[in-house]
Amino acid sequence: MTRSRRDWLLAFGFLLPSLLVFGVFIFYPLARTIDLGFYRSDPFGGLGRFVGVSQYTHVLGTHAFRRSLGISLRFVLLTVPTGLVLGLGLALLGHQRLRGIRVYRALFSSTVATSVAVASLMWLTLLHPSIGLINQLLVKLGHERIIFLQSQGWALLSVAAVTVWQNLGFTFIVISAGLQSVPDELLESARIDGAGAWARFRHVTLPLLSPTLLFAIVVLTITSFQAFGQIDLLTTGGPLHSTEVLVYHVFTRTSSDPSTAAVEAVVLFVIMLGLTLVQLRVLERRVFYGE
Amino acid sequence: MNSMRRRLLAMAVLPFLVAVGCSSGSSKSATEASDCPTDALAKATAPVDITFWYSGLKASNIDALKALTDQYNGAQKKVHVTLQFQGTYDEGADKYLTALRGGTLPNLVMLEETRVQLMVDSKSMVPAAACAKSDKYSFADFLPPVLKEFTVDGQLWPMPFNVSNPVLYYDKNDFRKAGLDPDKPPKTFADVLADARAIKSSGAAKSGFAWEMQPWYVEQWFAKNGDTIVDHQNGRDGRAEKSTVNTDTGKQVFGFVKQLFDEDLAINVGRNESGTDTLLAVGKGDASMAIGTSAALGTIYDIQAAGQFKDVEVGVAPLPGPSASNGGVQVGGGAIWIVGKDKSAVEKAATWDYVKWLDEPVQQAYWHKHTGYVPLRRAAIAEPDVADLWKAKPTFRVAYDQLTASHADQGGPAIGPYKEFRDAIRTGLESIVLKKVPVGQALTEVQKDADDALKSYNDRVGG
Amino acid sequence: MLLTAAAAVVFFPIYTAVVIAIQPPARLIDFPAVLIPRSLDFSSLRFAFRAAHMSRYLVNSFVVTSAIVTAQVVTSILAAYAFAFLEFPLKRFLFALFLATLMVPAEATIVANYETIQRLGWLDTYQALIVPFMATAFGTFLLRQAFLGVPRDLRDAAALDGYGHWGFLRGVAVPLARPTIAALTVFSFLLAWNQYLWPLLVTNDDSHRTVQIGLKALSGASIARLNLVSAGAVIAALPIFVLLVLFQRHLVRGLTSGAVKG
Repeated sequence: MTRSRRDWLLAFGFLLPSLLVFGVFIFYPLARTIDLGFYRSDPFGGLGRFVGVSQYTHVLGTHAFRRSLGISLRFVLLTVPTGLVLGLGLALLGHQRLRGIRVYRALFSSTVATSVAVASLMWLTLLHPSIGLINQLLVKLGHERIIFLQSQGWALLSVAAVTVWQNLGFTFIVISAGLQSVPDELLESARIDGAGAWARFRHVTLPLLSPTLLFAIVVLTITSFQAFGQIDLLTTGGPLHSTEVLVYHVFTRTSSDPSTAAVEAVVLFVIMLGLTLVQLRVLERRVFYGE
Repeated sequence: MNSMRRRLLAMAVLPFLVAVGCSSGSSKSATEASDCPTDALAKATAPVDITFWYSGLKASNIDALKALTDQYNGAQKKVHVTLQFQGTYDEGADKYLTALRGGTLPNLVMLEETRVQLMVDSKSMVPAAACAKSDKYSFADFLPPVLKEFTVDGQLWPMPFNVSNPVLYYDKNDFRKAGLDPDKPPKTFADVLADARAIKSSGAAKSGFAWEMQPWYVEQWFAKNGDTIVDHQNGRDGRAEKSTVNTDTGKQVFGFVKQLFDEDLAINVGRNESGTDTLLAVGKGDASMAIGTSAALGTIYDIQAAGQFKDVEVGVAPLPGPSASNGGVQVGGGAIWIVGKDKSAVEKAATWDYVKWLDEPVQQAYWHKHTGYVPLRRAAIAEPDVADLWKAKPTFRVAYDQLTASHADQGGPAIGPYKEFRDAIRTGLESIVLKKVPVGQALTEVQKDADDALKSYNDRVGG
Repeated sequence: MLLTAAAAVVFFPIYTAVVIAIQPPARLIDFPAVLIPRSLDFSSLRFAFRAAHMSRYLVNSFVVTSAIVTAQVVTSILAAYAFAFLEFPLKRFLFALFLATLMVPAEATIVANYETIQRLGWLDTYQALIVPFMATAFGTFLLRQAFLGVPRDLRDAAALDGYGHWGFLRGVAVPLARPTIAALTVFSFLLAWNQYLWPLLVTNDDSHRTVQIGLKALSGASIARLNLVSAGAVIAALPIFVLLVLFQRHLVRGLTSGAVKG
């Protein structure tokens, strides 16, 4: 057997466990869901009338679907850039060579310990209109109470803030790891050459950090699009649908209108696929893969 | 067919029969979903295990259910009930619907009263009436409004158990501070507004009323006015096809909410998913009045007993609202459904035995005392426990009195897509309060969303 | 200093949750009080742990999460190795396939998976909670990234020295990627620990239910008892926090051991 043949076999062997799991638990259900979208199902499991692709086109045109999609996009725009910049900032802060920096690093990454449920509950109590600490602080400072999670203007922002907070730990860890791979000698020589802090950052750190940043952006976008737990716990999609992202919209009708939910889930998948491919293509060009 | 071939055929079929026989257990054979052979339990040779999916209950109420079930399990050896918590009412319903599509079903499921039409349509349940008939059990003692609520097509479907209706909770101390008579709580919308003004201007609390976006109250106000929310007599005379909320009653109800906020007499706590945000507001002095479910009473006393909100004297009053003589509040809360699909005769009989026990006067008295849910039977009220409780804490009888005073001819609305219907109403409430949309426009939008939901449901379920 | 301010802001919610969890139930949380707890009361923690069954849920979460993490690390290392170091037909297609799995929303698969689990007879078992998550494209990409960073010369040297793929994997690639593997472990643990909808669907009784379900039940049942809810949240978050602290040292050690040098 040639070496390459052996490599092929080894490769497929290495990929098999993952592919098996993906096949049974991701692609097979996806296919079934796509199929379900071709029927008008009742809530009890009956497949119902076959309507074919017309249901897809119909659902795409509904006001509810478009609104949810718009809110999802808004949510992503609110959380990803903010999360990235803040995570980068924290990583840079934590990268300094100071005494006790390890404590700060632990604190910065601490949000990773909170699951979505835990983070949401912590913030739910903080943002509570009556007994929440933030409102108590506002009142003490003479400000009006803000109903964070139940007013149209604030709800999505509040949920986005909680999401950004929760992701800070993750972003911090990932970017910190990336920062570690920026060789100190390069920064040193740049400093000796007279480059200021900003210039060093722009011309040395940032390019070498770009693969990590790309990775962080892609992951943050994907998780942002799929955000569910915090909405379920904080606002249940309200008020007035202002936090009803597409994922939550699908969730609320999975049992009562399974075929419409199926269509929306499939469309969500296609959108995320497209978005990620675009991100990779556009941003990969700007990524600097050393050596 | 000659004997040789017959023998071969038998041999071929035999393993199949054995497999089928073995897989379905000893004496199990799936019966018609809606049959209820209650005598099967007597023939059981071993204890029957049944599972009960309950949801929607909070805190102390869960403890009470657990205590009752432990009691039942300990008092006899024929049936063993396992309680399994499934989250909120909606999560419990979603779980059941998903299980219908390809999972294992429990023997009992507690669902919100709004799911009556949906469950009848699911064709997976045993009507309690069938069990009652087989067992010669009489519902004569049960409160008529409760029976009406859960009767569809002349049959009682789920076993009523945790009945509640909305009441007004108010802080008697705040009333005194505002110069209002603490024993004369508001009765109409106008009264509420007047009292709220008095409270706010006197500074007894920051605001008069704590409002939550709860569509259930809207439905109750329609009932109080003797009005329907969907056609075909609220879905009882035939499948509901169109909503009927854009009426005078609707304008009254939505108008009241609008006025509460136009005059800045209320604070909005939002959707109140936890169920306690309005009461917390009253406890904290942000408001003096709030509407809540009568089933919160037990929890309220528990919280006060633990030391919080000591300076609130809890007053409970019937739901204020529009007052017509042919109206009244409707049954809220939930009921227990007996699952029939793929269940054996023995299981169904065992399930009936348990659920029958839960509704016995002694158990109903215990349940009422520890939760605030309304006792369903007149015999339960005769229990000394209940009489003592009502003498010591008359707040516990408000919901009961309110229910028996209702003049509703039929049960509450029977709507298949009830959840979507409620979402439409809630959106209407939110748009009035948050977007300051005029009442007429809000009602029109509610009707549109509700009609769409009804149409989609009927289109797929039909029949 | 900026550092302290940033740390304070980031850590504040967690800090207040811990404080609330150890306050006596009767005290309502007021602003100045929360910064310096005046009296300590562990009854809420005890109650959440015992009466609310958090201990059982913790055990279940641990078992399930550990199994998932182990499986994910193993399958990711293997798959990442294939993508980083081996050439084979359909490589780009398979890579895209892996990528696609990240974008399939849970809603599109959850009910069909529930039916599969039901057909396998796995309801209310550990397998139902573990098997569907034994592979991860996220981990594969993370490790592929790390493997790609292994210098060319090291690879060539290993080949010259007669290292087969297994030897290279065990002796060079994995040790060099240790910090990334540590990071993956933390993230996988977190994601698995975080799950709510799936465990809720495939488990019915307490014997296999996980910490997140317990937490949601606790909060739904008694949000007025803030101490109890906070106690539950603290219990749910503590294990990961401990893990994080432990792995932090490992991460740092791996990075400063001079492993990834140009």
